[in-house]
Amino acid sequence: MSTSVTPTARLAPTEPEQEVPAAGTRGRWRSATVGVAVVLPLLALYGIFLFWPLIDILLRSFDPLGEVSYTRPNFSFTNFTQVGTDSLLRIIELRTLRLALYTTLITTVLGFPVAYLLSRMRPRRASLLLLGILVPFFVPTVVRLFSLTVLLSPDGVVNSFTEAIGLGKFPLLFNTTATVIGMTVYQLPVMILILYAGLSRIDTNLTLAAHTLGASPTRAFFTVYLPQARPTVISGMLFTMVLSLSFFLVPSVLGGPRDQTMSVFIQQQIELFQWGQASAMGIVLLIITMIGYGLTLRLTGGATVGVPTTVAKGTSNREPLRGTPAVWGSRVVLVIVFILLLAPVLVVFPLSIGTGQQVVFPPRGFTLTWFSQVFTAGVWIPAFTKSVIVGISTAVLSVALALSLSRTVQRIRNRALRSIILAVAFAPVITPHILLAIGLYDVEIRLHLIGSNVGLIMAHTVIAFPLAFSIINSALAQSDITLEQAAWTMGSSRTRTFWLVVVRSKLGSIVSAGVAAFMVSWDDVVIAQFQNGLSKTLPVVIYSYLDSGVVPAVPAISSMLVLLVIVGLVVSLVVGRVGARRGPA
Amino acid sequence: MDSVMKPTRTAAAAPSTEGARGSVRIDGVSCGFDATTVLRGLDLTIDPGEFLTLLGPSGSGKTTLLRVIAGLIEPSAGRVVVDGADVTKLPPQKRDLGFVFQNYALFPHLTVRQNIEYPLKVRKIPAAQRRELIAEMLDIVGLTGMDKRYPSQLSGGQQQRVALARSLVHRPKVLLLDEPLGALDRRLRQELGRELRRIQRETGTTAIYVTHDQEEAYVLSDRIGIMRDGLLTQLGSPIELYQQPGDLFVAGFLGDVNLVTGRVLERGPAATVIDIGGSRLPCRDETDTAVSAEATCVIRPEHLSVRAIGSTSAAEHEQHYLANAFVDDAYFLGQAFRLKLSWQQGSLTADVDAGGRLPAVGEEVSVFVRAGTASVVRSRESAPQATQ
Repeated sequence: MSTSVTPTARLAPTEPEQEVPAAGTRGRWRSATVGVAVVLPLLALYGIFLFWPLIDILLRSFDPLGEVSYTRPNFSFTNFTQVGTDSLLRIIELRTLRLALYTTLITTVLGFPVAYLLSRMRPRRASLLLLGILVPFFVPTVVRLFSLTVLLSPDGVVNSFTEAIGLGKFPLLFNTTATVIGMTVYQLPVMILILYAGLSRIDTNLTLAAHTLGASPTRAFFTVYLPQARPTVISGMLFTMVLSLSFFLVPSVLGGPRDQTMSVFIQQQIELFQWGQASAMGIVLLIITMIGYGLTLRLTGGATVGVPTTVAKGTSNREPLRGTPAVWGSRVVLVIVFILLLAPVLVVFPLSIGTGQQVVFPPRGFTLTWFSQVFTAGVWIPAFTKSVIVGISTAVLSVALALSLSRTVQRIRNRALRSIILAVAFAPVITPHILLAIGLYDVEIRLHLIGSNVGLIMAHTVIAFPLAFSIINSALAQSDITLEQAAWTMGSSRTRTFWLVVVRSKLGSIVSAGVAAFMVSWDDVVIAQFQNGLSKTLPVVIYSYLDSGVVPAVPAISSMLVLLVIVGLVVSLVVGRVGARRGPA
Repeated sequence: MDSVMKPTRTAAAAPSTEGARGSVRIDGVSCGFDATTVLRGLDLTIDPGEFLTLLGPSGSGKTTLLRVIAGLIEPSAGRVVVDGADVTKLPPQKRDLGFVFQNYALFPHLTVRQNIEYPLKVRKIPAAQRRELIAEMLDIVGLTGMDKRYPSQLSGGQQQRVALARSLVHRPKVLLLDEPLGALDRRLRQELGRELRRIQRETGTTAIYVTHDQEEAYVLSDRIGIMRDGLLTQLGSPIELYQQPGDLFVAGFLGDVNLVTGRVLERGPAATVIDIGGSRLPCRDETDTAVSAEATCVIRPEHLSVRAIGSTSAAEHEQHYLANAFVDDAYFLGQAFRLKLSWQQGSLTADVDAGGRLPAVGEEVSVFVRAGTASVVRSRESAPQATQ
């Protein structure tokens, strides 16, 4: 291992010389110009569709009437004072905080045992279970929320069960309980993935060492394992908390009128064209989010006191978990989590075949008419087409921009400049979507883009790009410069080398970046609902039915979407297995 | 949670050596993961205070055996007896052992002192006594003054010393070491190996050491157990194993060998004489090869010498003529010349004195074997590649 590290380390400083061949200063100038030209489209995108909307909202938040003037901006803190003192607004803010807190705690309590079990399983079984966690992750949020409204309804499965065992019925829908359940279901996959990544890096030998030194399992867990896990757990919690604070979809669908959160309030104000308080609240959300992410970064970046965890020998991975009560408890939690995650996904199938105008579970009768209605009703096909067009365009654009930026960033030797660029690139992640949504709405009205596919594609590319970029950038960062140098010595031009060596060898990452970007666009309701022109995207159509009363075609289209995800995952598994045979790229 | 002092008392009370502090007995231990069997009914007895090395190629089951003794893996059959008590069903934390992991497994969130203190705190040793024990241990491993550092601030060798100190500070009955020097460079390995041996002697702890490095095994061990396919092939002192390998596998694993085959002429009490293409070669023999059967002898390269054809030597009785051979190649090794020779049975390797006359490549020479160095081995095992 060490022998392969040293040569690359030695190569790095000499690399700038090789970057610029004998051409001298002119070559240097040319490569700088090319670098700027390559990033220019990205700068334009961010400038028009991220920073302009944010500045727009910032200016509105300082205007007592919520109006915006670029020539004579107003600077008053009226809106912010109201956000801080108005009793109604404070109730909303405290409620948002409370909801986020509940969600974070429940998600952690459920997610940790699951992630722990997964990290101790044989990789094959773990990846199979992770797939079960990923399925709901890929199913559009509106679909899962729709399922939850059915499951939690007064006549739903849960209430039928509690009534059958003599506990009576509970009000589970359109209240705080429903909102917390919905947010937990949404956050669990993310939490589990974060924790799993962190926990599987913990050397199992550490706990074994504690045992050989005389520590009981409980003592070893608290004095050795937990201190290793703490940074991961805290960053997972912060991440969930921050994300939960700006949640719009779940409280809007599952919450009652008294469960209005900050995001829901913002959306309702904009529908009434009341920009002032909404903008101020959006800015407050942005600041809270930035603080939260800052803390997460510090925790994961700075606080890692530890020897580089050398991977232990195969024996430790086979180290079987002993059947202690804690392990059995974790297994119970695992089952609960899988029911929570998969029930809302799988229930769409039985729902879609029931007769009658009401959607009920268990379904009554059997019919396939709703499926045929999906194709004949005239609302679903255009929505589906629009979602696909916007999604694919978003994916292609995001990947292209990500490739160009990643290439440029990796040539920059100046560390400060590089971290500034990275921070700006990830800015859309930190921005609460509701804030971006209203800002984009305002800007796109000015640009006459509202309702157009182009406007929506640009908006979606802004939120999808960071994800695609992070996948591609980490893949390209690992690409071996000597491979490219080898190609150059064989007479391949730089452009040709880039396509044939770099892009080819990282094709897997590029495809997953595209899929991730597509999913962001495919799932989005928050931004798209403000961009309705003549046509709506598929999730927005489903969302509007959730708001105004579900028609039986909704479960039919939902089950098709779930089926699509399952087929997609199976195909990717098969392709991945074939690809793995080629050996590591 | 026994106190550290308690085992000493039990040791004093125990009458037999079996019950003495630091004895280990493995009784027919078998162990398997999934479909593969890693240990197959292995027996082994380790005496108190002994330094025993388990040596074998990877996959031979030596680490598994160590983990079974530690209680980290439960055997599917057999017993582990420590100090006369059956500990097979006991979890590791109740066995009172020390274990040094290959990657040290130092707790990254604790300082050197806190790491070493861990087993003492677990045993509820009072603070004053803890301080004393830690100071003594830091002194023994030569890390006095480093106790406030974190493992990540130490070099590999220092981390190794901390791991050793941590696993010895509570005076364990037995110290188990799983290739503890494997991650270090050669020079440091040798230095720390010597030091490990010194500390083990000073503390009088029984040590079971796993390695695949034969040189390390020679230097450190009282006895070496050669493992292969989940079984102990041979057990003995380093010299015994080197000079009298039981089979081809052991012979080949412990250094370079020449294999020579011939027919058994006679079996005497002192030696078995083998006929090799007309030459009579007396060999040590622990096998039961019958007269006139085919036998394989091993001869180490340093026990061969070459002379010009026809020349006689004053020390004729110390050397046995083997055959004539042609010199194919000669390398300078520093302390010796290594000759590659070809003869009727293929090739031979001879390490000859660097001070002597070096035969030219292509020259025909007479090959002699030093008396009492060749030995007959069981040939049912095929040896790994003899010399490179």
